[in-house]
Amino acid sequence: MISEIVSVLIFSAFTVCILLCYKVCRLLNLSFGSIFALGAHLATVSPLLSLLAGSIAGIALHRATRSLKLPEATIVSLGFGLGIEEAIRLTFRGSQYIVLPAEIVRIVGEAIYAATLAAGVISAAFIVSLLAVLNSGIGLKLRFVEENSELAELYGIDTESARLLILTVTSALICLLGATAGTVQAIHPAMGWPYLTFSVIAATPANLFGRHRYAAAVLVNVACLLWF
Amino acid sequence: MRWTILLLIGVLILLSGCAEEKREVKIGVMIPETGLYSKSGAAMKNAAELAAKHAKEVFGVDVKLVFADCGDTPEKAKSAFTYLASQGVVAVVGAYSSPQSIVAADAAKDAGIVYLASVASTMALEKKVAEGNRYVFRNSYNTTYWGVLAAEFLKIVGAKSYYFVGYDPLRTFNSGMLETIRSRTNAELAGVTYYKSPSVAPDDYKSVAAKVAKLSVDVVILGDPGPTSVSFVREYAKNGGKAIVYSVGGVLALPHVLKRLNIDNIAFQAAALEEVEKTELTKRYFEDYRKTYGEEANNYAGILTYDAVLIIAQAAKKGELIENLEKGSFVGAAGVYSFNENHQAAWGSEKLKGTIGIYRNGSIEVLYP
Repeated sequence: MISEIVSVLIFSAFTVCILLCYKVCRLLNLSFGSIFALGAHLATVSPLLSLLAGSIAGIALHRATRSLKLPEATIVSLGFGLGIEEAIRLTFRGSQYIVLPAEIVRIVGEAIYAATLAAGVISAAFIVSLLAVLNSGIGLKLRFVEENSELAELYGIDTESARLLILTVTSALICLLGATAGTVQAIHPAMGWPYLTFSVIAATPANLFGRHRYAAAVLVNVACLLWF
Repeated sequence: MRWTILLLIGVLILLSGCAEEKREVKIGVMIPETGLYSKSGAAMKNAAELAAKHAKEVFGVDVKLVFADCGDTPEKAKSAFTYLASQGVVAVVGAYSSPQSIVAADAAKDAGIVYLASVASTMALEKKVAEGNRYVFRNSYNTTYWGVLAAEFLKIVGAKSYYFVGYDPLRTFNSGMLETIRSRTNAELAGVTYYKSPSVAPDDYKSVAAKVAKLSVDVVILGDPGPTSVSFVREYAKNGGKAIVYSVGGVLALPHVLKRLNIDNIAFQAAALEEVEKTELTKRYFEDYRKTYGEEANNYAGILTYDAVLIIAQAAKKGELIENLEKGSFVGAAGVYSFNENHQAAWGSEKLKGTIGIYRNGSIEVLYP
């Protein structure tokens, strides 16, 4: 049961990141799959390096897409992701899959990988923090940007900084989640695509819930887990 | 004057003969450099380059390779084949998945160029030959042989019962393999489950692993050669599964992966293992690969692409390529190849057998042959 809860939390965090980028940054961020794989590869060096690399990737993507409309920005994010994947391929040359040793811990009698548990805790902390922020003054501004960024800008909200913040934080989180997955799964450049595909699918119904879309992302992932 | 003309003709004949002997054999290689199979693509490229080197050293044949990226879709494979055909190659080897090989087989017929499939297992290729496409050959296993090897394994370990775990995207391949296993073993089939691709249901393999771990069977046959198989065996062991896991190979046939996983009783098939010297090329392949590329060589797609290049090099030495392939026998690292009436390499014959290994107590033990 703990394993299932952790899975739901990880995929919910992924889905929330997709939704945040879509609503605040005006792009369907298709580079998350490759950023996830980047984090997994960096786990072979140090998992903490993935936080830094993810942040840099987020800043770079912000700069590359800040003046673009949603369709163009989405295409650029895809190209950006493919570029990261190719860079991974060139850096980690060779035909071998990387497998790292994984530590198992027991929680209420259930065996679970320590790295997976850590990913679940990080994801839960992210979702709870986000929901708390959304109910604060900053959250009101963020929702304003979500609803109408041009109008929000006219009212003096720094939409550019909000966009930069969201892209940096979400990319860093996805990269970190990749690093935790890297200690459990076989590492390869395309390993983030299943996560991206599934999260984009989950984000679609969650987005229908309007201002409750982030909480709905968790419910959709619970439903998906039960369904599959 | 007459003698001078005769002498000139003689010299010309001699020269043309020499030119024939020394001519270069240009071979096209389709490799998945991008996409889902790119890890295997890297092994295929390395192996093909090594084969070109060995063709010169062992058989005295100059091989020039032309590479094309076939990605992971049939469309890309078709473009790759078309490109290679335009480069004047005598034959094309490689491609990865079954849909890609089917497209390549059709393209081979259209272009009138031999295509030697070195990875795909679909029975559709043999069907195409039976229907008159003489340009297609295969040196990799067909689906039946995958089943033959698994049944052989069940016999070797004296399994009384087994459970089959398939990979949903490879359902056609897996079910064909299972059909052969069932027809060749007396062991009881305790059940069949297919886990879905992680793109569709990310944690499906976990629930399947947990379910199967609770069953009391001697062997779990795992039909997934991809990276999810690593996660599956980890979950299976984590949930207390005790049966031997027999994998179709792929990622779980790589020695460094098995060592890192360090889970006892993972068995796997491989086209060749360094420990079993099938021909004079077996050791040479493994040693030179390690020396040249700094990593282990037993990637199924890699070793069979190596053999595919060598088969074409040997067959193209003299005369008509298709006829030579149909009638000759060719040395590779995995054994000595000859092709049956449907242009399928005679896997299971005395000189060409797959190998089965098992990881136990920190090392790989060969179980078959």
